[in-house]
Amino acid sequence: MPRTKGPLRPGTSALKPAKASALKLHGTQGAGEGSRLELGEDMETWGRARALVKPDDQVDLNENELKEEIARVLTVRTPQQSEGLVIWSHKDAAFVQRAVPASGALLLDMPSTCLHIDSPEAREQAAYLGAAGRITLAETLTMAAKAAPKTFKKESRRSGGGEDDEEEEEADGEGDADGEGEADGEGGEGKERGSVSEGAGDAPAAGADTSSEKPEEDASEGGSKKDAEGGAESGEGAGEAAEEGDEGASAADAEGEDGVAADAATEVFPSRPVKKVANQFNFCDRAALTYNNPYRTLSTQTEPPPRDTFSDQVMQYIIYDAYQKDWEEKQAGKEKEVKQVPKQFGRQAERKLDERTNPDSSLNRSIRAAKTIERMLNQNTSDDIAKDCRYYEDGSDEFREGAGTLLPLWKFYYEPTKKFHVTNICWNPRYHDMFAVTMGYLEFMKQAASGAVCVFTMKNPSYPEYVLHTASSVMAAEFHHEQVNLLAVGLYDGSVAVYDLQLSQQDPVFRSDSVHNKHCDMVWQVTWGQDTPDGELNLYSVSNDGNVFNWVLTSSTLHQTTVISLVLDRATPVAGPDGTTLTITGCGTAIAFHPTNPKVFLVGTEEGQVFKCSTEYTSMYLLSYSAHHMPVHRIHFNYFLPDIFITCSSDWRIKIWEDGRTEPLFVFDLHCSVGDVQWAPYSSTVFAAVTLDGKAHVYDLNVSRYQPICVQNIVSRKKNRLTRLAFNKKHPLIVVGDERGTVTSLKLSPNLRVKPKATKKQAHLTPHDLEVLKMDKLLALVREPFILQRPPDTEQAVE
Amino acid sequence: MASEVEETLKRIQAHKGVVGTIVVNAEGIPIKTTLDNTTTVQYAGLIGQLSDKARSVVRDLDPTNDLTFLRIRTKKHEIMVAPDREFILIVIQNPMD
Repeated sequence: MPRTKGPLRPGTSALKPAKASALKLHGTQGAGEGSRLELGEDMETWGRARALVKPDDQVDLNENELKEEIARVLTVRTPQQSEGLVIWSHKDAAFVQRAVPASGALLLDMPSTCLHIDSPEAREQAAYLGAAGRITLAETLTMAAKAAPKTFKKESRRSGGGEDDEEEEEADGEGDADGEGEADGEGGEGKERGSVSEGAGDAPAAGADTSSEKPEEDASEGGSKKDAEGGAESGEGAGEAAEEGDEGASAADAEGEDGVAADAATEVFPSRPVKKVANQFNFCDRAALTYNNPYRTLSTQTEPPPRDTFSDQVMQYIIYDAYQKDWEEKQAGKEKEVKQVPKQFGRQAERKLDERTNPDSSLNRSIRAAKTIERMLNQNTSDDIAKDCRYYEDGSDEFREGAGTLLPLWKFYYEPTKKFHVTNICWNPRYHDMFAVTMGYLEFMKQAASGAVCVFTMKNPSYPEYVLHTASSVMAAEFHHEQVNLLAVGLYDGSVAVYDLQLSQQDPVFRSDSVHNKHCDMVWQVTWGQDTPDGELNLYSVSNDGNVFNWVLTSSTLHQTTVISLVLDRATPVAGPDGTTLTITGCGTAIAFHPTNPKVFLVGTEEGQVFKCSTEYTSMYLLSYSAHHMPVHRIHFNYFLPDIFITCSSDWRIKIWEDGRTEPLFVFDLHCSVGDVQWAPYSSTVFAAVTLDGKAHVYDLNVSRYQPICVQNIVSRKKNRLTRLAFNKKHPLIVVGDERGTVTSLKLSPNLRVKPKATKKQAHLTPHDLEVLKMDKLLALVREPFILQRPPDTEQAVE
Repeated sequence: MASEVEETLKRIQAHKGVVGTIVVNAEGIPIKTTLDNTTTVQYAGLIGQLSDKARSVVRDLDPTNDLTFLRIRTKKHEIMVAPDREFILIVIQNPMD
């Protein structure tokens, strides 16, 4: 970089022969030039040997003209470079000027890491190294001062001038590039001094460099005019240079001392690493261009990743399901957090229960599917019956005043229980198509060691929905009015049981099977009572042993209490054979709770008595009716008038009673043992009865107080007998059970379910009120006045 | 429980007019049949597709709804299908018998 400024120095021409020759060609002709350019003498001799060839058009110049100084300036431009370079641009569809390519080439660019010791950066670094570093620096300086106070002084002086700095820089650069050998020729005197500081590492060399450089500088700078005066003066210049060299050498000495001192400092504190500050005079960055490794191309064929074609359809519900699933997972996660503690017991039992009760388990779903299909099949095969049941109304009723018919629909039976008698029928209070049929024996001599409860649905006449097998004949059953899955069952062996149909298992959930916890004789009827104040379910059972029991369903057992013992005559005990007295108990056969007063109930006995009892008094009857002469089979309260009830018995009679009146209001003789009688749920005056001769009788008191409006043979009189009947609460249907385990469903024709028509005056009354009114009107006809005694005085007077 | 399904299927097969009963599992493979092989495979394949499509129709109309049963009344038969997630129960009945 400094070389480009200013004229060429003679000292450097040896290294640049090409430039020297170029100078000769252009600027110098005279032989006197040789003295000035020492190294060019050889070439002079070489040139003299030949004839000087001169171009014809060369301008002849005189001495003065030749001496004229022509300043030459080196520019960065390359003369050879052509300027009008163009390139075809496809974009513009024309030749465009091409940018001039850069004339220089940057081979290496590397920032130096060295610092000048006096520069602020170096000071900072020293401060960074800490107090120890400062001490060493200070020591270094003092030691250097001791060793050569004179030179140090000079050094300090020199460092003050800006020009000197430049010189130092100069010296650095030159020394590196040219080497030491150059200095030997001119700096001879400098050597004397330089030898003093020999053996101090690099420093002497640097000093020599400086000394050799200085004279040149001065000679070229200061004495460019002296050069022109003559070669003699050059010696003088050399002398000056020598003087200057002295100074340079001394400076170098100082520098060398510095280096020694620094070394000494490091020796004093060897344990403390001192960061070496780069030598500002003899320091170089070395860089080397290494060989480039040859490029090599390596390629490998990999196996292609497997490809698959995937296609799917996204519907609205798929998205919905995905969200639903996500939501459930989130909920499950939340629940898990909450339910972390109580998860220790009963996990297995829980799972077992789940499998059975969970309505969404695959097993239950398959059962449900199969059952539904079965219902469909039945619907298809008995399509006509189903339509009859729903839509058929007997048209001929219009022409028959006061008479109706029963239309037989399905027959329900279960093959294994075909030999049993139907002992009771009970509709489900919520599912109006479902009814339970108990299978047992009504004949004492014919008892078998088994029984069953079949729960049928109208939707599947071919097979019962549930079959519960029991160890003994089943005599009675009733669904709970609220929890309709609970079925209370009374058995021939005196025990009662409660089944839960939802569990779909054969074993009852409650069972009274211990010796003390049951009746001593067959249970004739069971009925659910009102729940206890504690909310426990309880049921009543009446048995042949003369007791009415109340069973409370506790958590696991049936808790039994005796409500009443049916003693026939409390006042006069019968005299026993050995002079003892016996109380004869009646055999309970039927029980019915008062519809409005849940504490009052009626019990029918085998002796024909009907007792009105209360659950609160176990020792006495509220009233006693001498109702029949044979076993009472059924007591049933009217749906509309709670004080009216009906009884039937084997003594062929049906009697209608009013509560509190010991005489019946109506008596009907059916000429055959009456198995069952029931009020119709839709009318206050209609009731139906079945007799053992296989007939069903329907009465409507409003139509006829003496004759049934319908008598129909349901089963063959010779082979079969009817036992029980039940009204459907919603549809105009009755089911009738017989002694062959079959239940027949019958549809009531329109004449059997005539509704009272409201007159204009009664327009405000509800149908219920109308029914009550209708019955009341009838009762008024048959009620005997309470006071019907003739005054005795008049009678006597007549006599 | 499982025997309850078996029994019900047996009753269905014994029912009047029933031509055949097929149970298809979730993969569409008939696992129980009373018909011959070709008919079974044909029914299983076609009814499976039909019930899938029917379910998709029902679900697409209302995502909260679902298909429970499918009855196909034909001139000769009635095909009753109970499509479930894990199985399809197909019963073919001739109601005229």
